[in-house]
Amino acid sequence: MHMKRFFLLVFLIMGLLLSSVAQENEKRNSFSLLWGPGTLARQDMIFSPFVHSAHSLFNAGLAYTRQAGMFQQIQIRYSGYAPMLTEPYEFLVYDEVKTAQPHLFTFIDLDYLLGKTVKSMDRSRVTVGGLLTSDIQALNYVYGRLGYFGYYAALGLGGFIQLDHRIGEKNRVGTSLQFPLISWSARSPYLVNDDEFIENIASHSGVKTFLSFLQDGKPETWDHLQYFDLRVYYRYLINQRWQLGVAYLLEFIHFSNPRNLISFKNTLTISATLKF
Amino acid sequence: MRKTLPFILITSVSISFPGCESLFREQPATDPEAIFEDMWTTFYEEYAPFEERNVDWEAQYESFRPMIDDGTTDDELFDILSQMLATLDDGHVSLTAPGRNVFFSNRIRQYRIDDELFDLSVVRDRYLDSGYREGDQQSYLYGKVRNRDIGYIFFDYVGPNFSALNDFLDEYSLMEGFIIDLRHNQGGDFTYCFSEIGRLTAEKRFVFRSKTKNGKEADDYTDWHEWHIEPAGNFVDKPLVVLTDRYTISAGERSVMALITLPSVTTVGDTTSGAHGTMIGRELANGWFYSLVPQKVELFDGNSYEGIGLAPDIFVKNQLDELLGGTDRVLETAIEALL
Repeated sequence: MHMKRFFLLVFLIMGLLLSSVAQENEKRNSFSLLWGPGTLARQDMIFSPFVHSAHSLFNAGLAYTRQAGMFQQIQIRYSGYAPMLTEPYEFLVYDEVKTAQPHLFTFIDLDYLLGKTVKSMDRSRVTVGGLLTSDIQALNYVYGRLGYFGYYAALGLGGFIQLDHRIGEKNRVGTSLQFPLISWSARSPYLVNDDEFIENIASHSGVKTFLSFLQDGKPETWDHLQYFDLRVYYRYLINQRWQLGVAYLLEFIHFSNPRNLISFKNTLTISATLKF
Repeated sequence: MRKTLPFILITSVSISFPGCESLFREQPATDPEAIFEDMWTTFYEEYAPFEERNVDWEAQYESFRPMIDDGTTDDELFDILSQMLATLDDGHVSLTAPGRNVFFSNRIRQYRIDDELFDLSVVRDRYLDSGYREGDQQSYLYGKVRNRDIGYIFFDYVGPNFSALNDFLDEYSLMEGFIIDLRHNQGGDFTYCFSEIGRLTAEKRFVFRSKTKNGKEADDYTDWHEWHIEPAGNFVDKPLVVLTDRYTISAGERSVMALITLPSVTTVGDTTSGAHGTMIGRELANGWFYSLVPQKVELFDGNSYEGIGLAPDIFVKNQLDELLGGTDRVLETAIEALL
């Protein structure tokens, strides 16, 4: 029941915001491809007391931005990391050689930003607005011959602020901060699995299982769940249609329920943007 | 904007990893004493069936902790930790380290006692008609028992392979009885069994209840959760024999629990492993892995059989010389029970 109310509220807010956008006349759209290396440092006490660190080249994303009277952006990002406390090693099960493999984490982020430039000067502008974000993490923990699935999902509502500064005719630098304030969050139980978890996977359907996990979530505010994305970027305008960029993104999560989770993900992306 | 650039610079500089690291909880150290302490404490806080297995974990600390000091080698550490885990005699508890055989806490699994008393090829080649069906890597095997109106099905583990049960029941609907062979069943996800055996019951039946640790204190558990099987599909009302042995473990045993709620079932063979709670993995600072059980399970009769196992209605064990000669005494007992 709480979940239904939550989503009703989300859709109501989104509807109001979108209807205001529809009134805008000027259209300035862009589509961006992002890719780059990243590092992860993640300590999830549900699964391990150790910090799992890894580097990855598999950080990619797509972004659609519409900058008219209102600022709108939809961005989806994917990344995969394979941390392990040691190097993979061989062990034996009844003299049969097996290999201990790294854990495998998959992250998918989907953000929708809707805002307005509240201060604009000759070379700079400040944009603020609302944020709807979903952060989905599929966690495959591997303990030698055993493997366990874990999950983290947070659907959040919050705000963002973006500062953008033009340097000369072709260069821009800026920073943005996205900060969900309330979230619907779902996470693996205290000790990896319990009866509720097993009930959720009993459908043997990926979609139903995912929805069951989400349904078992609950609203969280900043006292239990703190997460934000901080981005610093540089963009170079090749011409009126094309733009290249480089950005640094820090994604931080601290969640204390049911056990402590701290996660830092640092990504350096290059981007190519087509304006239309 | 004069204030924008300084803001960007400040936020950039503030993102420094050494500062972030301090937010992490302190990690267990890599020396032998710390590794022992980490594993012992994790069991103390997360392992559920100490009482069922009659193990005083604090007493184990007193016994084994003095054996370890800074100079303990990896080989010595592995041996000492294994000895400590052996006191649990738990089929779900194991220790994994590089270049070594996995240590299994359960004595039967560790030393493979009577492991050779089951041979699926004997069943297939000596007891089934030629029209049998086999899953990939023998995940299941089913067919008609030679010269008998009896259907036979074997499951190697509990997973998607259980969907073969429906095909088996359809294909052999005219049989007078069925044998479900769960000997050497490796376990898996018991919900596959629960969702596939709906044709074998005409009513909802309570199977077992379980509760899982959700905190560090001894009494920190979730509420009891009841598991049932429910009717689904065309009801099959035929006598059933379920075969078990000492290697029927975990989800395999939960499958046995579900089947013995049925009035038409007789169990034949040997007692199951007695590892009923769910299992989780853990890792140590030196990269070793271990597994433990954070759950208590009670059968529908209100008793826990953790560490005991589910005893069969008819106890019978194969003899190695007979099996090598092509005689599966357990299966023959099951066939006789259905006649």
